[in-house]
Amino acid sequence: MRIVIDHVTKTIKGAVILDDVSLTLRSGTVYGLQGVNGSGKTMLMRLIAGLIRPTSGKVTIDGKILGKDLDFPGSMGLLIENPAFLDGHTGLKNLELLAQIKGEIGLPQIKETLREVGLKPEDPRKFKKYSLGMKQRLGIAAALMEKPDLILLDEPTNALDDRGVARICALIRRERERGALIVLACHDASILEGLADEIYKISEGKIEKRAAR
Amino acid sequence: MNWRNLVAHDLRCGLLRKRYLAAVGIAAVQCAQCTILLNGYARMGLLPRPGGTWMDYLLFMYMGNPAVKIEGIQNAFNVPIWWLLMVGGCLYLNLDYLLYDLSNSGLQIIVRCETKRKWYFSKCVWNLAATALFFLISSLTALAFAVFTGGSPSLMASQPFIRGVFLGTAEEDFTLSLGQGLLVAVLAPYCTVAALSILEMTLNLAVKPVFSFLICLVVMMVSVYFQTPFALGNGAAVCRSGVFLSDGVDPWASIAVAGGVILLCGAAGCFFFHYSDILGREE
Repeated sequence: MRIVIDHVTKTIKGAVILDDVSLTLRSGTVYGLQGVNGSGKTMLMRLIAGLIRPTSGKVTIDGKILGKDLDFPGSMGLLIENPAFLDGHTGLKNLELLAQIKGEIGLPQIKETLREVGLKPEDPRKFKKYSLGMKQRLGIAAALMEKPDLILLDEPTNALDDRGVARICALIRRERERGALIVLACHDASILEGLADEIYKISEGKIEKRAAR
Repeated sequence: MNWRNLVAHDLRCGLLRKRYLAAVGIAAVQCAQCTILLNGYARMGLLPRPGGTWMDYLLFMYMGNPAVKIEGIQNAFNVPIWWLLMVGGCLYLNLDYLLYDLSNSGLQIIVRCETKRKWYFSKCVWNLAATALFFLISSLTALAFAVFTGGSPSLMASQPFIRGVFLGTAEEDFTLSLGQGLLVAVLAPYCTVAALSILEMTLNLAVKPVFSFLICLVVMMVSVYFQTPFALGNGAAVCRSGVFLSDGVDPWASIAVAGGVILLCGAAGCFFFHYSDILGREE
């Protein structure tokens, strides 16, 4: 997969959210996004996910223009903002319902992913009874379970304890080895330094390459 | 993408919500008034015993009022409050599912759809189903009233009720057939309310839910003053139907207009949603 963000500017209600952003992203790489709150990290993720359209410029995925040739990247898992699921269902049931939309994976794969993020598939608790950390793990499981080619994770380590962070970092590394293109926004510089192959700093909607591993 | 599972998700999440139990209360308010009216007819000897038929209650729920001809300030704001409650109640219950879904698991769902249009079309299917659910619940409430107040579960309207409620409009020897009853009391109101509900959802893409609700109330209020199928609320006002009035609104014309609005709003919504940004709550 090759994603090209070509001179994209996004304005919302007169405010410039992304300012002439250009990036090229390739499979098998973890890209880190760093910036203060409101700098445009989440908007850049929404842009790549096809959830927002550029005011000017374009995003192409393997040569196809996002928003014109295709609405969403074909194979994508994402965690943006707080993970939100159906309150009245268990984590397993929530993922089962999600997986049914594409129909690509079955119960064994879902259970395996739940175990990988540190949740018990047989946990009878409903989502509304989950702790913040459990909700975050479920959100990550939803993003990873279908083994997507593109993974967008916005602050995936929020609300996780040290063991949880280590587990998620290991999963991200494994996904990179599998060949996934991963975009990771994280306020914790040390996590980004340890995971990302390339780190970009975003400030007031402008992007600058900061470091390469 | 599995289209059937996408629709099933929307029906499961959108319909299995406690808020739809409010339809029982809304319908009960109407049915209680109908019971009082029918008991009055029984006391006057117009009915052999208190209680009406199921069809009597169904007709009463969406009865509405004759078109208001403004003759002065006294009648300029003749608001049919109970009719507005019935139609507006359904619109209120259907109000926020689209945004509710997007702020819950909908974001995970939509990126698993190939196109935004498919996701939005599924919401249109949900909308029609949600209106049908409202009608089902309110109709069952009417049935319960008919049975438990000494009436009958018949779908044939009682003659004194027709003459009494539509006094001065229905002919003396007028008999409402089963087909006519279902047409004016169920099908035409359903199509009309469904059209308003789809309109409301389409407006939701551009304005806040409360404003889309208010705009639909304004559309209904316009129909209070104009007896024409092109004023959308008329199809849900039984007393203006051409079945009862020689110059009334043809229910089939109302259904056709409602169908046109549903198609137009569905297509406009799909188009507009395709070009809309999906932002988070705080954005």
